[in-house]
Amino acid sequence: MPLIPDFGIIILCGGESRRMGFPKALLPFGSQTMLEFLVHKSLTIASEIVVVLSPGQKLPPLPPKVQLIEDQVAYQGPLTGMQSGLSLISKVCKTAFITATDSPLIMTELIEFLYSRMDANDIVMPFDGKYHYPLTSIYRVQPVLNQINTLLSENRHRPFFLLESLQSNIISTTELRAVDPNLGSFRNINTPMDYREILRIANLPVPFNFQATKINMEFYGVPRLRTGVHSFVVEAETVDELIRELSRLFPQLIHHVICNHSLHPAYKLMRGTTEFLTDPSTILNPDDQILLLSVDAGG
Amino acid sequence: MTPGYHGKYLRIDLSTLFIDFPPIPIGVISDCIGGVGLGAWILTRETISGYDPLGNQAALIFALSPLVGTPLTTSAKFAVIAKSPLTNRICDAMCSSHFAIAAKKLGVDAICITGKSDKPCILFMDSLGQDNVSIRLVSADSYWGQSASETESSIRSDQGTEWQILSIGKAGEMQIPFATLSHDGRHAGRGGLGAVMGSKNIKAIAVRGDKRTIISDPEATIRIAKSLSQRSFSPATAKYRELGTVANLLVFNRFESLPTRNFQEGSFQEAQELVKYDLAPARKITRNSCAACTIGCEHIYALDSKSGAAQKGVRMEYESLFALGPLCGVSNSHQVLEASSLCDFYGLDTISTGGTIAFLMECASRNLIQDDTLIRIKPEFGHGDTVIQLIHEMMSDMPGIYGELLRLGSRGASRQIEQGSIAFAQQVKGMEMPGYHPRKLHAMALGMAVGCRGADHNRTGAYEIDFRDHSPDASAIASSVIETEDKAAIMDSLILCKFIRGVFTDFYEEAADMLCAVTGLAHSRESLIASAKWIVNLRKSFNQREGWLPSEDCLPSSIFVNSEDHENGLTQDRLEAMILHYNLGRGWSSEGFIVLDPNVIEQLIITENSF
Repeated sequence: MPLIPDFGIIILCGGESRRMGFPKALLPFGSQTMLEFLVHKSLTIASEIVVVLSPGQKLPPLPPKVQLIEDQVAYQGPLTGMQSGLSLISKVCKTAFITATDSPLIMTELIEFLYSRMDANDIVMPFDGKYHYPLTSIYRVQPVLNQINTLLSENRHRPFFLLESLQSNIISTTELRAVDPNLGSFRNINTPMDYREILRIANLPVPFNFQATKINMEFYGVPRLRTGVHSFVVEAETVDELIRELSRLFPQLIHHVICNHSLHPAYKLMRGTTEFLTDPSTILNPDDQILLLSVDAGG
Repeated sequence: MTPGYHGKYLRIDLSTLFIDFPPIPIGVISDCIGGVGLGAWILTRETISGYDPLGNQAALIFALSPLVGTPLTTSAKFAVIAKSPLTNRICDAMCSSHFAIAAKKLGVDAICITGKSDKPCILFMDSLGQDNVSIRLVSADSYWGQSASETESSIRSDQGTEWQILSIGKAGEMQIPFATLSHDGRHAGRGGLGAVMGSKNIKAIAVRGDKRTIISDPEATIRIAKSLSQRSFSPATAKYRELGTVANLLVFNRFESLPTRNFQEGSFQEAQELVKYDLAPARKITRNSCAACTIGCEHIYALDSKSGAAQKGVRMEYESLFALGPLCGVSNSHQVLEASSLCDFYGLDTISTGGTIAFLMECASRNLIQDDTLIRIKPEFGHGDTVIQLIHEMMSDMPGIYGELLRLGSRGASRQIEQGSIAFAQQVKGMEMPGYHPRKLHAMALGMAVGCRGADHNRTGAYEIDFRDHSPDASAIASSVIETEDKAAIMDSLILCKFIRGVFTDFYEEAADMLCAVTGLAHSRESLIASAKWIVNLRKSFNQREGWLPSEDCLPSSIFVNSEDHENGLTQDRLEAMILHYNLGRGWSSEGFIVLDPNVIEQLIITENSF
């Protein structure tokens, strides 16, 4: 695949990885780490690669061609990372694609497609009807860098604000299906469950220490009636993940037991018969017995 | 006239056939609302201390509510109130459907029956085309011995289908202290109210009328009714619509709270065997609902074709399932259905029937029954055919069987058997405990111990606390139990079905809105909370007048574990600590005596200010 002239790729990897509980850049992805995988994929279409990291962040070994730059201050959001990356790349590139280290399924064909729609615009940004994707977008380096400097001086930290004053080509994700039918380029990783799902799509094994927590689920009453299932094993790290997994496994519970990604108030989850699970971030333990039952326990 | 009310009750003395219509003061209507609240007021007013619940002086009250006849879902209900022959304490039980609507059309808010007919009779009350209610007594000779449902059908066939009928079965005729009375297959089940009716020689009551009550704000009432109906189809009622209360069985078993073999255990190994029809729609033959109800919780199950029971199907609820199944160690669902059907046929409370049989089984297992004159069957846990046989024996005076003993209920039977058997009579104040094992469910343990009508799961929702939160704090549990009792007092006075309780976001606020729309009275959240406390106090004051003692607020001693095992059960000390907090939280003495100025209650009861 020929390299795009005067074109670079900036990979932001300085996030906290709080929900993941492990640095995303170091997550195994086949025989490589996630960041290594993304860098090697980027090198097939871009001559310049910049990795933006947080101060003191550990990275896997990367090719010498890759330039590194640390954020001035850690965890200030993507706009400061974009500022760091664009300022470094501005000396050698006119346009750049910005992505994040947790998007290993990004397709180079999609990057080329977005680049082809640059024309006289400063930004080419995908939009799915609800969300914009600034970390899957092409930017004209100098005008965007100037505008980021202005925004940050005004203490405005959202990449979305770039669209206010720069000429932009907003591309529907529907159109992008022509080059990325499943829109895998837009999948990112926030939780171990997301990580396992992306590995599954990439047909890669789940490392031992990221194997899902297996819990024993028991259904009572209406959930049991509607699913025809009483007890089974399910993988989930947290209560929130469990509810999402139940929605995926049992769509018949949606709108009846699970509404808007949470349990309807008429139902509850319990760990054993003593602990009521009301906080979605509650960590589940291997071999937990989790009960899903009606709040109206009596007659 | 206050909208939603007729402002008076019908008082009938069966001994003299004198009837009159005492007014109900506006203050009583405001404070007591209707249902159990109004019934408690009338009962206290119409009886004297120490009367025999089956004697001439006993009053049997049917109390309606301002919501009856409105389009508000689940409101077609009535309360039956009397002094229980099982407990000698106040008893109120709910029943529902068309009888409530027809009785309200008589033009009264309640019916109070005292005295006694000299012969078995049907009591007809009629206001159709008349200014006021007239009564007549018709011989019940041709109906005596029939089941309640047979009686109902026969009377409607003989007299016309415009009559709505309330009837007792053979158990009521025999004045068994846990006999039910019923309408359209629904029972006012607990505490032997059917025996009170039987003691007055009334086989059935038939009502018809055409007196309507006005609604203060029809538009608001319809708006509220539509909203409530819509919400009644929400997930909050799905359990009742889709499964019925039998769904509780597996849950309680999982929580080790399913009373098994006379409360000796909290889980039943064969629960799955029973539950196989819980989730098998094929075994259900239909689903019914009361008049004016959008939930439809009644799941009717097919009986085994070999069954000799008279009914084609049987309505099954968790309480019947538990009492005639795990409580007696029975796992054969056919036999449990048949036993439940028999109870319906005779008019027996299933909980007390199962509880008394289970008590007998435990006594037999402990060799406490050594009467050689008892010749028939050996009461052993796990034998469904034995349960069925013992139910038949309950209805028989044949010598050498258990009938006479069983008809006493578990507390009464333990007094005959003696030998410390009272420890295994799983009752409070004489009323057999429902299907909530108090060893694990401590809030429910408190709720049952202090319940005015005895071991009870309807006048308290205390089990909700056990399934919602686990607080080790006795004071917090007591406060929550008071809250659930208060809420139940208002629901049972409005009257609304408790199966709709889950749809309310702020129950008191919404209840006040309903009452304001229907009656025009200035009800508010605060006034209803105050009313709840009035109603609870009224019932307690009745019991106190009838000789209540603090020692009655307790559980059978076999329920308790010793202090070393307190992690896995309930100690007597813990229950007593919770009772103390409960009494103080109610504003009573530490022993539980009501310390409101008795004159205040007396004043409320005797006030004669009419509208």
